Amino acid sequence: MKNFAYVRANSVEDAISRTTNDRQAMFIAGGTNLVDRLKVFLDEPSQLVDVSRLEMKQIERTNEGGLKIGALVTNTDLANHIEVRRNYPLLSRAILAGASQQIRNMATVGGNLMQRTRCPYYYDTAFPCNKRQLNTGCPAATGINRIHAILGASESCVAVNPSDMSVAMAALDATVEVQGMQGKREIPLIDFHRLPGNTPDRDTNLEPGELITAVILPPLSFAKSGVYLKLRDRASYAFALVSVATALEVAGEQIKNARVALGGVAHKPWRAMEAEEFLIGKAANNKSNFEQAAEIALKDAKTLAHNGFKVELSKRAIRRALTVSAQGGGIV
Amino acid sequence: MNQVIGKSVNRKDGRAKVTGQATYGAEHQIPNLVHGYLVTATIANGSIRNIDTQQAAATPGVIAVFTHKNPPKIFKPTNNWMTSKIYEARLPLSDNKIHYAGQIVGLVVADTFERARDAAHQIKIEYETHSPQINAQKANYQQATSIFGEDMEYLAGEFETGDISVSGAATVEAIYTTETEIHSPMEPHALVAHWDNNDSVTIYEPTQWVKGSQRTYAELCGVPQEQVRIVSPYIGGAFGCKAFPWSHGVLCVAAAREIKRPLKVVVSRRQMTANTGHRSQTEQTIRLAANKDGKLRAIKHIAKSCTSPVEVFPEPCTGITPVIYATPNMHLKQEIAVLNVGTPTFMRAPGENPGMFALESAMDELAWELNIDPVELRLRNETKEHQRTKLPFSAKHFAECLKIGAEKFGWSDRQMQPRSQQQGELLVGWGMAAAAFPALRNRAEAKIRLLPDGIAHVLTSANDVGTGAYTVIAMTAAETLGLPVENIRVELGDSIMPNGGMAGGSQMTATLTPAVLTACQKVLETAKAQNAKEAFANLRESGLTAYEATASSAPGEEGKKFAFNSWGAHFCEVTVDEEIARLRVTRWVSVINIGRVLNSKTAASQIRGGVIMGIGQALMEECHFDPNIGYPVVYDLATYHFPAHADIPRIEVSFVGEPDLNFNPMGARGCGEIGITGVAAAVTNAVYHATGKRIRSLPITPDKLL
Amino acid sequence: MIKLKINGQFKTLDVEPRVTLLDALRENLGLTGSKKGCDHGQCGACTVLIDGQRAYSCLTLAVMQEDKEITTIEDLAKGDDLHPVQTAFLKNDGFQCGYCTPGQICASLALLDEVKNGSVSYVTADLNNPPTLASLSETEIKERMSGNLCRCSAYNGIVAAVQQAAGQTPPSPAASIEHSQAG
Repeated sequence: MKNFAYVRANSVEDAISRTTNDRQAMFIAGGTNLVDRLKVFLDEPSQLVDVSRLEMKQIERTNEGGLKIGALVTNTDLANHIEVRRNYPLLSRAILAGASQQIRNMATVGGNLMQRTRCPYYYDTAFPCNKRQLNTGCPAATGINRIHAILGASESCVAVNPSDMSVAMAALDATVEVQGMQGKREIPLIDFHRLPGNTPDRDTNLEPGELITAVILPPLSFAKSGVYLKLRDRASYAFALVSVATALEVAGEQIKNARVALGGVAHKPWRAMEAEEFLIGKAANNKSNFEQAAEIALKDAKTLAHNGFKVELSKRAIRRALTVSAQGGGIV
Repeated sequence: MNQVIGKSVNRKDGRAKVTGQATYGAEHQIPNLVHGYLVTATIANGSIRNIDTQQAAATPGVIAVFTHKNPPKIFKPTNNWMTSKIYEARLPLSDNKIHYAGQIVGLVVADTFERARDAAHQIKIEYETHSPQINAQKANYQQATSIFGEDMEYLAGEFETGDISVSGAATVEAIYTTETEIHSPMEPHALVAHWDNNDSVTIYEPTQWVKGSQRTYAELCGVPQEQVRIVSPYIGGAFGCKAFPWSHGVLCVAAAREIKRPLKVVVSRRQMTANTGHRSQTEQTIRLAANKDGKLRAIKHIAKSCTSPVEVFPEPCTGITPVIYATPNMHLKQEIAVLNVGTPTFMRAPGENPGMFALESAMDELAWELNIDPVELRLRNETKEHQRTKLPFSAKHFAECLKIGAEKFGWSDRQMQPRSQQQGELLVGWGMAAAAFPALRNRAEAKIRLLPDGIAHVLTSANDVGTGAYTVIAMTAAETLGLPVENIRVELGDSIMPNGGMAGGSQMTATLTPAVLTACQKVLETAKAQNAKEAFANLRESGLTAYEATASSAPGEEGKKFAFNSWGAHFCEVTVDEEIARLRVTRWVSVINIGRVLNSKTAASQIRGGVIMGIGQALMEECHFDPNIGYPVVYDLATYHFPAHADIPRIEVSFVGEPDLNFNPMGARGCGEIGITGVAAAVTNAVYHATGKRIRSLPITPDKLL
Repeated sequence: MIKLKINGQFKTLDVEPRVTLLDALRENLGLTGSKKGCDHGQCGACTVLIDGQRAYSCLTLAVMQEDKEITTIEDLAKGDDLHPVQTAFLKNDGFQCGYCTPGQICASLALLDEVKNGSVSYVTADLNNPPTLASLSETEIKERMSGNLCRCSAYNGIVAAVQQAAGQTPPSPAASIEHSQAG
């Protein structure tokens, strides 16, 4: 860890101006990912601007009937919030599937959106890595790539986004509110993270100096049918091999609306819109519809030497999650 | 002998551990301490062309930088086991050659940990890189050389051609593989070296073998043994990887002498994946041939493992094979290949663990082939004698382990048909396997000191790596002296104390408690007393400050009459959610025979620990090396998975409990390793029962269940 | 200079901003009860309580914790009297080597409070109906403790210790012994 200056921001504006004026400065809030990265020299900031004491810790009902979640709300508080548990259970479940209680107590919503991949080649400076330094190569593509991306990857990067929370938020049509020197703007969550393309160094569409201030969840009546299913190598406290967030609106036996998002498969939380569209109007009690939706969701999958299993595992996870959502949701 | 022995007693070291007062290697507070951070190679094969330390040396707080260009003085040790032993024969910084990624190539010393780490990162190295040999499948195997003089190839019966020429009613031939596993003790490798002038040193380091470590460091430093003191009262887990000095320890002690400051070196988790040992991956071919009644006609067991370019360590998978089942024809062979990886070493049940995964899987396959219950198949093939030494086993009771285990588990309800048991959407499978591990014993010494305040001290250099040694030593003294356990004080892990032997090979209890027993008897003789109460009365009357006695105990001729081994049987249930490839171990029964159980609480924990490490091996543990660069792509405890709470069911443990008095006066054999043997096979056997899928390559990660 | 409130006492420290809370405790304050197992938030051995909530002290900077109440393992026993959770770990053999133990105990302590406050976990079947101390299942305890690894694998004992501290009656930690051990 390089040494750095440490400063506590006294307002959002103060925080933004500090990082705008010093491009080597970084925000820190919970620090659960950033401190880890600093230790292994993945980031070498000139100064850390501590935003953790700013007021962005509220969860408020929006005029539309959704929720506005302050960027500094901890993962624990969000997962346990009574309205989230009741109306967006897949978000609670997704957050609770991630990390451990200790990390969730410290980690914030904004920080969770900003966490970076756990690709081992990115994580150790002994390896070259395009994400760390452009044009140095991607040894993962020809190395051990069991945990790597099957959707949306590029020649320059095959890493996956590690967040569980973001997958549920992608399914829930969330919007990220950010603030920079030019004021506030909103970015749909599914456009917040980027595919790697030839700029894998950039994980998100945040501009330099911009700070996440909130995440907004629109009302979604059928989110109660939400399911978050996470499949991994260890029963708990492990990143997803594959995860899936689903929700279904069913009238009679007919699907009126659907949400399917995948985690652990791409450089960003992966919303399977085509699969969702396919499901609309189909019978909810016919499992073959879910099988077809899963096929559609994975039809563009491209595999590497060791991650081929993720395609089949994703399909099965989608099938199972949709089946449970069709029954009203719950735990898998 | 059952006032205290055999009871369930809380750990003597428990209070220190639950209050945070137990002090581990790198935690000893030494004034003027400075910090070292290792620099490690990022290539797996080649040499250093240039190493630039200028920038690092100029970093604030940096005190010294050591590389192969200016290594601290290290003396070449005999490294022959008897007088000294280091894990890796090549001494650190001895030249510019790189044999594996993660090899130590430098040490930076600074006034704080953060500054040392930062400076280490600033060292720039240019390498001459050669393509590394990483692929075990393409490696060049040769017959392994032995570690302790045992033959690496064994033939009995009709094996003149080197192959099985007999045939039976059924044969099973299959290849079983296990992946590279990392010990991953919770306490990382770490030490503090504190020199007094230039001629004597105190080393605070977790070590399973205090006296061995003392002798080895003395040779490495070129000083007499008495001038090295090892302090190791608490060890945060070891499992085989803290028995001898590793290169980082050698370097730390040598560097501390040169900088004339107490020096601490802690190996990072990343570094630990590469340079402080692992269990080699293995590939084992087993062929079994049996009569219709299940009687084995032949066993062939060929095992391959890999070692590093700088040390030879074969994973001795075939050692246990002639112990378990009787057969007239047997062919065992160990092969080894060199890869550009770090040095493999002893890891909990080295050899027995992967060996029994293969053998006990093959036995299950044979049971299905013959349609014989797997418990029954094992009973029919029991051997009364060790088939290589021809000595009869002492206090065996393997059949009892099988029968009691089957009873406790409810095995008789098992359907002899795959996919026959369901629980809602889940497939349920039951599996079993045998457990076996040799009973080892060595010489050890202990001192007893009775003090006028009514406390008996036991002092020995032996140590407690979490096994419960503090407690069984106290219980042995309490039993012999007729005192409550509370009145015994045990001091361990210091080389100034009598030689307590090594915590390895499951031998500490069997080795040390007889010495404690003898020393207690001797101190009572010294005090001219029948028991401690009389002794304390005599002591107070005598006006002496203490009664003291030191005694040693060692094996005698019994090894020429008997084969000593421990036995057990594991029974487990798994559930498989087939659609989403989710496997859980849901129930476990282990019945073990280790002779007399000294503490039914800590012994149970030892077995549970072994079983759970075995479940980890079965379900998730694997370290992969990048095929091109050679560095492990597992780099910490998030990427090297071992079981978390959520993976583990309640493990029901029973012991047979018949003392083995042929073995030692306590009748006790060790229990540190037997728990892990057979576990992975029990799991894969249960998975077969649940799904009809035979998994021969560990671990059973979700991809293997699709 | 930074000022930390640790176990009820203010401590002034001269450390760089890059020093983690864990290293400040262990290297600067001599409080080595909090353990460094992985230094990356992957093992739980460094768990402390910050304002009553469990946290990994290796993943936060000391300077960020000014004005917070930090409680470490050293503050749980009062003189000779162990905290009930510590007693439960002893009785149920919830440890072997002891290195993960301070973290396991701090995590258990926090877990009990979390349950009292109605928190949910990934395995809570009905998120609107969190378990109570009395109804807290083994599965719930195991999920909630999974951020604390134990390589000796004293997991059964740790779960039993939590059960005991929650007012439940755990199974005996001891093995059954089939034969009389006389002889």
